[in-house]
Amino acid sequence: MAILAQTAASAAEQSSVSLPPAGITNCAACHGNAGQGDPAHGYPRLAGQPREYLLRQLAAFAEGRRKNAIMEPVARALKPDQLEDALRFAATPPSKPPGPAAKRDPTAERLATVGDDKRRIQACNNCHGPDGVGEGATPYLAGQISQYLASALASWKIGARNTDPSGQMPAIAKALSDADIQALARYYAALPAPGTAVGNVKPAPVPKGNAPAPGNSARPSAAPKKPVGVEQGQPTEGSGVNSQGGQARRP
Amino acid sequence: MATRLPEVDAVLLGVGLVGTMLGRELTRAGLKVVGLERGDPRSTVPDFQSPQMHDELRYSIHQGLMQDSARETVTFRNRDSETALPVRRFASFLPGTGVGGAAVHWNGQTYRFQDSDFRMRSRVLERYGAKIMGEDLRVQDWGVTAADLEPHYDRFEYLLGTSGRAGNIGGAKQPGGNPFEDSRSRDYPTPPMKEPYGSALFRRAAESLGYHPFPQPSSNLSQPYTNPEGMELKTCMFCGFCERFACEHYAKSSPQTILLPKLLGDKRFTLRTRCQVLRINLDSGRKQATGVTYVDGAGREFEQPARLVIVGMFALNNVRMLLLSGIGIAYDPQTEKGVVGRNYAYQTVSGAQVFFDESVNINPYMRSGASGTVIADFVSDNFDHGPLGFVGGAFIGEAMSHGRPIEFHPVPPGTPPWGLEWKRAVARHYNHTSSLTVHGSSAAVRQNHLDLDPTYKDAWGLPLLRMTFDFPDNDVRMSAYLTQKAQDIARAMIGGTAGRQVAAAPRKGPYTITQYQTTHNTGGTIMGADRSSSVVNPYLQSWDVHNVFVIGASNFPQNASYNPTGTVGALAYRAAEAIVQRYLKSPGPLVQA
Repeated sequence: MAILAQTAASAAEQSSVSLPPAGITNCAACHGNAGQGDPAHGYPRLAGQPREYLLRQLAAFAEGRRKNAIMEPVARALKPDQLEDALRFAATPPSKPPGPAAKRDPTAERLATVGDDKRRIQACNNCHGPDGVGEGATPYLAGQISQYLASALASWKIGARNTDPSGQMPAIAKALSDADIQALARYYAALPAPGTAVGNVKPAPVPKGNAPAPGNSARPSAAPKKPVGVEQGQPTEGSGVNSQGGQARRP
Repeated sequence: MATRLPEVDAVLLGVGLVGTMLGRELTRAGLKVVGLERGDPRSTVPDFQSPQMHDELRYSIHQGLMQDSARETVTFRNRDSETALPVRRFASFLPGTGVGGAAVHWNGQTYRFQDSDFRMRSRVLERYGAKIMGEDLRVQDWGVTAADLEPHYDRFEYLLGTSGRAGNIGGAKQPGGNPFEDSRSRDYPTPPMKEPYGSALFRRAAESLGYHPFPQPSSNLSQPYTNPEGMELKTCMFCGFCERFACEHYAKSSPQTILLPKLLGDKRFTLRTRCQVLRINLDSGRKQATGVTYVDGAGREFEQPARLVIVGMFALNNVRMLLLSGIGIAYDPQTEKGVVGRNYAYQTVSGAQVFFDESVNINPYMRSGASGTVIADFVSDNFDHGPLGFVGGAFIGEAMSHGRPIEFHPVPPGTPPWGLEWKRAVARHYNHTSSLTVHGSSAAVRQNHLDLDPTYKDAWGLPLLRMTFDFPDNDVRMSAYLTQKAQDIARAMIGGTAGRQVAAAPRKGPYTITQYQTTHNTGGTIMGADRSSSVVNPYLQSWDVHNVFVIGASNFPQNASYNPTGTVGALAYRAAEAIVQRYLKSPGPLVQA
């Protein structure tokens, strides 16, 4: 695996991060100048991947809980400031969407969104988010490099990846056939990666609304008594305004 | 005119937790079994999947998994002098419906009652004398002991895969477990759940006051588990959508995850959904049941003859079914004659809230249904009631189950109930508030009872169940004392730090059905060794009609300090064993009255 100075330089330009010193693999060399991944080699896309997820993966590579001939020595050699650089690199917003969406495979779509009760596989999207957009310690799958997704699931299946303390991922991967894995990898690769969807709109600012000016509201002069208690703070008395027990009158 | 179907060996009324367990045991014994479920069929995939299952409005506020009160409800009053009115919208308690029953949307808190609970009357009389009972208390012994139930508790916990830490294995105390529990034969099948931060703060505070905190036993699992039925469960993901919701991850122990697929795969079993049982039919001597009459989803009436009838519906519906069928004599609170409907009890729940400053992050959304840390120092008779003047107790714990946006808005006392100040207070306190639960027992009293309403009827024209209930003075006194104990722990949690405060309120009457408290409705078909004061014998067999078994929290003579499901499961396995090993060989009363 060669480290190309040229690639490193252009990565530095694009992501404005300091370069790791010589001898440590530069992220961009494999993962692309903008962290877009490398479909030809199956190197995963990192751009916009949640920080918490990446931190956990680097720790797992360093500790050998996740097996990978390239990443294990890289992760072990990373010093704290280099780790921050690497994370900044991955935080680069994704620049362009992946290739044209492929025709959705119904089997893969069903596994991704609904699951399979006979094999006790729940929907991938339960944790990886609607359309596989990821969150926190859970990586996004949408727009990920297909070959990488397939190899990641294969790693879960054979136990080469041991980074899920819940044991959910190994159990799910073991229940998937090789054909399911290929179909799921293609399915998610064809979805737009987070932040690259058509339109890429930012949420509209919340309007100020018609909130009454301070001092102008019909607030009660004294706060009513609101005892606390059950269901995390519900009242514990039946005599309040909500009380509506049996009544001594004919309906 | 009902269509008469071919006779089967056994019919199940309700296919929830009890129905599934009994169905499995009876088909395994070779019986041909029909399960009648009033609700819909449902399974983890596709029915419980995200993002739909995380719809708080649909499932929690609109009660998506609950009994439809427009078709079937209860009427309610606080006392006999009032006229009961129908509950148009369930709120105080939420009866479930559908295949898997309430064990689909439960939290998974899986406790064992103590021997002192099963012998409550004897023990109270021995230790304190009759005076503490007052005039109205009707607490009774169950007719079983903790030792009788131990093998069945054990089997049930291993079916569920319950995650916990033992406190007493074979008489040897175990560090970190519940030191008050009765001897268990072995440890829990899986280790305890991870301890949330708020629970850890509770644990330290409780220890500092000399109490004995332990991890709450949870049937949302801490790790993957394969039960003796060969069913594989997965690990809870702490999603915060547990009670009132179904589990998307195969991590909550529900009929669907622990047993139902095995039962449905058995040719001897037939499941019929959308079937509303109207009554259990009796022979001319009213000594034996001949089967049931039900209406299916298309409105057609059927008679399903059966040689054995298992009543395993929600506790309140168990009571109603016996009353509608004329099995046993209805209880009259004036004369105290009759037994069906007596000793209706509930749960006396209160709490304390701990408002931290913004340096303490509780992350309430990251919770599991039954994660948390509790103490049993005030459970049952683990403390001296002599000077206190009440019976019963409570577990106290930090066992929050969620921080869902619609339902969880912690604000300190004095905050306006709406408007800008309220919104600011919610934003300030949402992530910095911990809630302690005081989960109190409920004593049976003469006046609290269930019977058929004289006026109101359900969608099939049958009388509704009428609930007459208010908190007994005994329980109000208990709640006052134990809520103070919770408040003391809460104070220890905040220490002397400025910007923190505690709010607590004991349970007080009158009981209202319009605010959620708990769905632990118990009693009405109570068990006991004496047929003059119970509906079923210690094997849950009707004293009056020997081929009818009634199983559920309706068997509890009074409610104990802990959540009921563990005890319901143990009682169900014990009844199933008695049916398979004894009753089927020689049908007739298992206990001579």
